[in-house]
Amino acid sequence: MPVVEQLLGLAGVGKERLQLCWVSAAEGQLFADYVTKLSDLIGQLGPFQPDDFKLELAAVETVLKSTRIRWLMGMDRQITEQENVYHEKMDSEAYQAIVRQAVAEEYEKGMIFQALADGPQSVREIAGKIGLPVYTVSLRLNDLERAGQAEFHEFEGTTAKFVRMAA
Amino acid sequence: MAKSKESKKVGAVMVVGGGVAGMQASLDLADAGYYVHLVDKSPAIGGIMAQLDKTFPTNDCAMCIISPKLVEVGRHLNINMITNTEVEGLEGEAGNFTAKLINHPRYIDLEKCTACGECSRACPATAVNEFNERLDLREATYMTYPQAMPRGFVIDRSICVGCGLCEKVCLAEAINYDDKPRQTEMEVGAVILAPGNGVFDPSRFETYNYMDLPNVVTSLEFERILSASGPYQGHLMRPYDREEPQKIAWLQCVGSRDINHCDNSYCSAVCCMYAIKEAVIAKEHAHGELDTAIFFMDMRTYGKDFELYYNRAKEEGVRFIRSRIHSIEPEGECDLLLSYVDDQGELQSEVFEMVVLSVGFEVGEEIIELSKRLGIELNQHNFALTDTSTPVTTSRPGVYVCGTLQGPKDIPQSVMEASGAAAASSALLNEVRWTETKIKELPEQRDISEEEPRVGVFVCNCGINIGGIVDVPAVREYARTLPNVVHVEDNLFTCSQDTQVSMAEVIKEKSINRMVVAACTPHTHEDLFRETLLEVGLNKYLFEMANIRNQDSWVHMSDPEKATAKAKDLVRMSVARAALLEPLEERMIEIKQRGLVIGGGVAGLNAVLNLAQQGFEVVLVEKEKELGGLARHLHRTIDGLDVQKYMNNLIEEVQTNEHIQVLTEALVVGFSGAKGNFTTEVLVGPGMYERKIDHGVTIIATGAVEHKPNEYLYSEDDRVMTQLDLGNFLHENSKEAAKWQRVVMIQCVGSRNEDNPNCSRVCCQGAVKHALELKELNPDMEVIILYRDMRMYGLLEDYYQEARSKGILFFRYSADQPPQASRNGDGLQVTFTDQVLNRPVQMSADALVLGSATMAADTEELASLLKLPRNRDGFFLEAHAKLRPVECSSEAIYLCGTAHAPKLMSESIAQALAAASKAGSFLAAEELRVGGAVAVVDPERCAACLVCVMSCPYGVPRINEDNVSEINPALCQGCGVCVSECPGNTIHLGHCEDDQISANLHALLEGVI
Amino acid sequence: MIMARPKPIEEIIDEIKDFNKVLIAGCDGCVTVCEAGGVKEVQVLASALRLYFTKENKRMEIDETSLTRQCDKDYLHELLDKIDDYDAIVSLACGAGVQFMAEMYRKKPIFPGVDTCFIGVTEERGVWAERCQACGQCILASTGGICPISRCSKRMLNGPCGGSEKGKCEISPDTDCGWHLIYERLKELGQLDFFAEPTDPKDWVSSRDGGPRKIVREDVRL
Repeated sequence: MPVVEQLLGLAGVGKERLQLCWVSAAEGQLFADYVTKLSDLIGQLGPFQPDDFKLELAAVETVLKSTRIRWLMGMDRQITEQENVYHEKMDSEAYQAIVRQAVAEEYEKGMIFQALADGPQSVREIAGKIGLPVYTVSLRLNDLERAGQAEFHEFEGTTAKFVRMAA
Repeated sequence: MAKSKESKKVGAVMVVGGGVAGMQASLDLADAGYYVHLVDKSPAIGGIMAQLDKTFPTNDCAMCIISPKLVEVGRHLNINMITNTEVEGLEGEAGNFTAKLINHPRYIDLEKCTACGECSRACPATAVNEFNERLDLREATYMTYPQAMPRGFVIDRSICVGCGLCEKVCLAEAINYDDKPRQTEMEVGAVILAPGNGVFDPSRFETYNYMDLPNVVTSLEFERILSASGPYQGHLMRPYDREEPQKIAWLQCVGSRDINHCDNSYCSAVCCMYAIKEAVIAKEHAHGELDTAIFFMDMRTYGKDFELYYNRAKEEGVRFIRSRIHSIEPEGECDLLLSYVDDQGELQSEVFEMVVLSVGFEVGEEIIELSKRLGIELNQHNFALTDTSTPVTTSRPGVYVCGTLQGPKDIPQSVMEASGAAAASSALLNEVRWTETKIKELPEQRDISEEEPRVGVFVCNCGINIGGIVDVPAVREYARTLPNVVHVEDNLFTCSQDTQVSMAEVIKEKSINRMVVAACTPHTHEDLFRETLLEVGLNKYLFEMANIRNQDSWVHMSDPEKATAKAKDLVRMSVARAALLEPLEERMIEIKQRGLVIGGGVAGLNAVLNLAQQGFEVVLVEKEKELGGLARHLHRTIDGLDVQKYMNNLIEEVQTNEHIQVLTEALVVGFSGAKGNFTTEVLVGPGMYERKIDHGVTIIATGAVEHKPNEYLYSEDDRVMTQLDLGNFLHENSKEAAKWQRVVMIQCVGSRNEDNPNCSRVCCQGAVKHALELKELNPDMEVIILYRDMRMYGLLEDYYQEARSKGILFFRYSADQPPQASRNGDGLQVTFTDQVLNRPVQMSADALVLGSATMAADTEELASLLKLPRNRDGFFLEAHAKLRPVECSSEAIYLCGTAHAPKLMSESIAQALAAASKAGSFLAAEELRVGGAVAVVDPERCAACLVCVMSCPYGVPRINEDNVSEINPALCQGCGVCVSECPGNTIHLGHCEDDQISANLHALLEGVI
Repeated sequence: MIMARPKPIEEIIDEIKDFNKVLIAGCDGCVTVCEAGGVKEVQVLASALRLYFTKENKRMEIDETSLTRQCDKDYLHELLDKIDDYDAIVSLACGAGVQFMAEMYRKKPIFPGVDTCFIGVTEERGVWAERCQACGQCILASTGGICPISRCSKRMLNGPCGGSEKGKCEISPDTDCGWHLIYERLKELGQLDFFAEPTDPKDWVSSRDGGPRKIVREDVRL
């Protein structure tokens, strides 16, 4: 959940739109309260237009599908409550920080990857399209190149254009 | 009762640091008969050189020239690579040390790791990549760089979360999370320190804003940017927005020649050249016009051919601006503003799109600690303390030093010192040569001449590198259908140890006599498989490899069907060729156990002495009556060595050594033979009696001479003298000199001009040396030095500082406005144009001292007798400027001292030791293996047309007494040029016979034509 | 040495196109040295012809051989037992060799595979230059070792013509003026008095002008 919340925040969708509540069948009033609160909240926030967030949501999807994030999420409890392969227990806060960092990076990479669907683009063009700082795009694009998901295409004058590779 | 320590020496050496110097020292020693433990604290050897893109002055790709060394070190039977390890302590004494090591865990078993890379691809943790100078990221499970040696991955525990994913994906089961730090001990006879140095961290320079401005990078970062294996794949881009910059500036002396931001008053000796190199290479990479500007104080291009490199760069449009930049201001979104004062005193401003900080060497805390642990003394700059006359010896006997810990220097210098340190170790340990080395016992080779070909085919999956694309079982079954094939199998990793064992069994069981491995490239494992054949008693040339990885699965990943079909084709071709492979004879010829050194100056004497100390017989040939060469005219070096005393001792040592024969007044008149078997004819003494010397190696140390100027009134006025003359004058007549009131010195006389475009390297320090001496004689004396660039490189810079602080005046002159010397009645006058006032200044002088050029000695005849090429200035040409600075291209002939290029005495001594090391390593083998895959002439059809003689790049074929061409198997390199060029088709190349190549082609085109 | 140049392959194809089994015969003598007709060239030519005829879908068998020399009958004899297997022979020997082979094997078409050019020297790898025109009466003694018959485009005997400019012949800036070379050489030898008197007219009967030539040496005849 924290991962999805972080992603929805990064995407600009807002984490409030997604709620996780544990309600048993015998807690009918609780359920009604939750739903009412949520309805009010949504009423305030207004309708959610998925089309406005096409790029962001596609990026979120790639993050959630990535082996890196899934494995990190999957091993969370093992590593923070029991032991990792070195027979050590890792501090939960530290681990969450690592996951958050990884999610942020993967999200940025996902956005760049999505942006590149439109064809060869330069770092500045990508940054303009997805609203991330130029230098951040430069660094994350490099990560994509390293993973074989993006590649330098050609120079147009002195501007480098990049393309995405088959995943 | 205390047990007395056994005084027997140990025939093993520990080399600390696996950079280019460490590797060179290791190879020299391992070849010379000592077992080497090469220790490096990183997971892979290679050092800084592995990070460079290109190297000056040849502009060779650094990785291309270092790779063969990496492979050789990895493969050498007598080099034990211990990576991820640090030295904790060193006890004992020279000849018998005990080293304490701490091996940091790698968490990956190198015996099992096949470097397939799956672990890295899966790893979820990332950190900044130090190899790429933090320009990009790497995983926790990583290989330092693609060509890393030892070949394998490592887990960086500091960022690893311990998720266990890598273990899951590793098919070779090489991950070992239970790996622990281990403490080990080792007995060695000597230690060579080659740990290298870090570079200055410019974040200390607040005014350069290095931390805040992404487009300000260090020179090492720039190397990674230019490198094809770097983060930008070799495209010239700047970090901020990946645009190609159109204007780049280099700022020199960052962290060197600086006592303001740091304590590094010394010069780092390499930055001027590497900045020029980076500028020139960047221009090559750029698509448009790239403007490059280098901001410097002195342009220190002092080495062999460096001045020519500088001139070429100027011609190519690299701008050189003499100014030290104070700050870098941000301009616009990501550009950089530099302000400076130009030669005319005007304030200038320029906006650049990228700035490279030429950072210098700095000895880091870790190295200082290491030095303390090893018990060696450091100088005030934390470089190892050594003596001028013993440049590779530290304060602790038995511990030698080379490379940048000895002092700032470039790659050729480092390589020379490394060999020099090896020579010193060898002299120390020569009585225990070959006592610790491993020898492989091989069974006799089976005679297969009567046998039909029986081919065994082994198809490799290479984890999933091949098996993931190519249908390996299908290829295996296809191989079964091919003619002559008696056995097929496929393996997960054909190169793994256990497969070698099972292969050997199968070969014996099925009487296989030809082996085909379908896997990666021969460059990786051909030698490994050949070893397997040798161990089973088969000739190593009965092996053939089909490359179904680099040339198939890796390039046809998107088409597995076609990739499989291609793999079948490749296997069919290899099987056809394999059936025709023949065993090839290699034979041993004896190496004559004697060395010949030509030239008895500082270099020659040191070379001959070290060879003798290594236990070899040597003959020294000197054409003059006296030994000593140019050093006979020198009295002290700039750091205070009494040259005459040193030389007298050295000459005595040489003359009293029983292994050395000295021939003076001796001229070389004849030279014949090849490596290991030379014969030199010498005419000795005034009587000119003939001597014939048989020897195995030759060392050239013929020295250089001081140019006698034909300008500035030299030889017209006694008061005008060269630096050498001044040295003698000060020695004999210092009282007279003390009376002088003003002395003017002019630098670059006879150098850096049209006739001699080179820099003579030693004149700047010669002038400063004498200037300091004069000031000591008479502190009131005015000493003025007129220079173009003050090339006080490395630790010499401190003397320059001292000179300035003592009031010695330095005035710059430009090449197009040289000073003038004239006589005014009895007086001597010097006129020069001062750069600051921008007008001529005239001064009278009591003495005018000329920094005259160092020219090559006259070696035309010797060079033609030995068939050794020299450059256009008469200095002998080394085999390779960077990595083979003491070898000539003819094998077993070595070069040292000023015969190679002008240099300081300590540098000559280091190079002499290096030549002795190489010569000793060659002689130590005692036998030479020749033959195998070499060219052989069938005299029957030879028309003596001379085409082979003309086309051989190594000059090997000779027309013999029977009037047909003959190729010496000892010299043939097996390149095949003569074979393909011979108009009579009468030369054959072993292992590349026409029928073998034909079989290959016909198999490929089976069914097509 | 006799210097030759491989014929354009189109010519050779034209020569043999109507046959089905052809032998390419090289020569280990002069044409090997000038890389026009040795074993290597035989192999290369044979390969090329096979490729061509396969592409053309024509049945053509090409075999290869090479003889020590084709200007001696003893060596030509080596072909005796196999010559009948072939429809035609392409000889890569010089013109003399081709003719000698044709004389011996009168019933078999023998085709030339090279163009024989001149008597010359190897100046450097791949560059051969004419030096001698076999005029039969060598005058090199008086012209400083440089032949005006072969080096002068007009075969003049008394010095350069008006077309000699800056040491080059007017026919091409790459061709040295033979007489310029002779002059310089005679100067070095101190023999410039050669130019004092005109030379006698040459008797060209010993050259090709006198008809096909023969040397008969009674002192070595058996």
